[in-house]
Amino acid sequence: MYGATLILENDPDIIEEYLSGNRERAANAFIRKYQSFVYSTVLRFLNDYDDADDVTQEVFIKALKNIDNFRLGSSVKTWLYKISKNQCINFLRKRKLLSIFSSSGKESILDYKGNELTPQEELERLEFEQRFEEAMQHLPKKQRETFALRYFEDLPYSEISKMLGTSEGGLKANYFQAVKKLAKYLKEE
Amino acid sequence: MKNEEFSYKEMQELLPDYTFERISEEDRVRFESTLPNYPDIQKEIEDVRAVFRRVEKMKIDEKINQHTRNLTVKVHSKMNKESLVSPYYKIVKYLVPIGGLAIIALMVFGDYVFVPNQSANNVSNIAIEKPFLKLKPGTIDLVLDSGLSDEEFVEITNSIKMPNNDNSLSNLAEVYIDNELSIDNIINDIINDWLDNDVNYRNNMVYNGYASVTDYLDELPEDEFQLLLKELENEEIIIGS
Repeated sequence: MYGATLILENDPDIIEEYLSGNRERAANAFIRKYQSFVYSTVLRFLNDYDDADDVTQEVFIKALKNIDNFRLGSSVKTWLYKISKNQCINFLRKRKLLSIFSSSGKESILDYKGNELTPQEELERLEFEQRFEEAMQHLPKKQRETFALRYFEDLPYSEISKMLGTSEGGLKANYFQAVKKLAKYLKEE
Repeated sequence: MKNEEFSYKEMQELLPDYTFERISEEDRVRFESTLPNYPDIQKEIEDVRAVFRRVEKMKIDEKINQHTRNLTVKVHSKMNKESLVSPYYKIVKYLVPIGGLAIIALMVFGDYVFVPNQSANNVSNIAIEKPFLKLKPGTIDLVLDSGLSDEEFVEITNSIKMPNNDNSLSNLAEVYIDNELSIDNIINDIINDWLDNDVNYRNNMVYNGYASVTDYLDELPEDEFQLLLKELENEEIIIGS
């Protein structure tokens, strides 16, 4: 009973709270709810953790600034996906220009500090993750996005269809092809 | 509950969701009842399961959580920084490049903007507008005005293209300026000069019984001559095509 007033979880509540003036609390709830989705989406586009950190922040800033334009009833994830995609495209354009003048030191996936695994297990895990990343990059864009949104984000086909502008039948075919190719690539290595 | 079997294509499309256990109960039953018909689908499921068992262990969420830690703080901090930026900065941000482009444009095209073409042989490029003077490409419109300075008059007459490449106009200008004559005298003589020297024009004129326009004008009473000059002030005199 009290939880409803203390914890903001529903999108309409969060947006209403934000627009009513209690911005910080609502923004925190909004960011926490969607940070994983936005970060992983941005990471797939940019394939770089540091860049994804920056662009994820930009996505939320843009979303919060335009939250009054969001139509309640439509999907927040679909809306955020579009913002993320546009921000990534802008970022990649800028980076392309800047790359003429400098070279950036990217964080490798191998830089990720693991946990309680033995060194041997940790090395194998890292190698597999790197192969998985490579396999993902080998997928056609549509298949990669379909796979990520369905497998990692667990979104229904109806929502992915709105995000990618593809029919549900087409998405199912893409998903199957992506899974099949990934399995083949990772098995061969 | 439907007990119809899935087609091969439907089995392929449902394969990932079945393998990752994201299929409805109804579809799962139908899928499993159809599966014995397609050994290659069974093999595919085994392969996918074997590989994705390792994918499940990748702890991608953990990695994402590590990178999104303190994201709320970072976003608020960045938003506050942006809100502190002066609105003037935003204006200046656009004005500086626009100003730069304007300066470059002026450096490149400045001559065309500020300096009228003074070429004596290229009347079509003349486009000077002053209260006392207007020249149009290919034609000359002289709006008489006594405020015309000597230098301006010389400049104009030098740039006027006379019929048959006649340079009499510029010669006249120099003569009259040297003798400190009025603009009325200049115009009067210019007209006479044109009429006397341009045969075609003269033949088409009606001189009221006089041998030439000069004779006609010589005989005009002063008040009528002044009236003629007045009328000329309102006329557009066109030379050439």
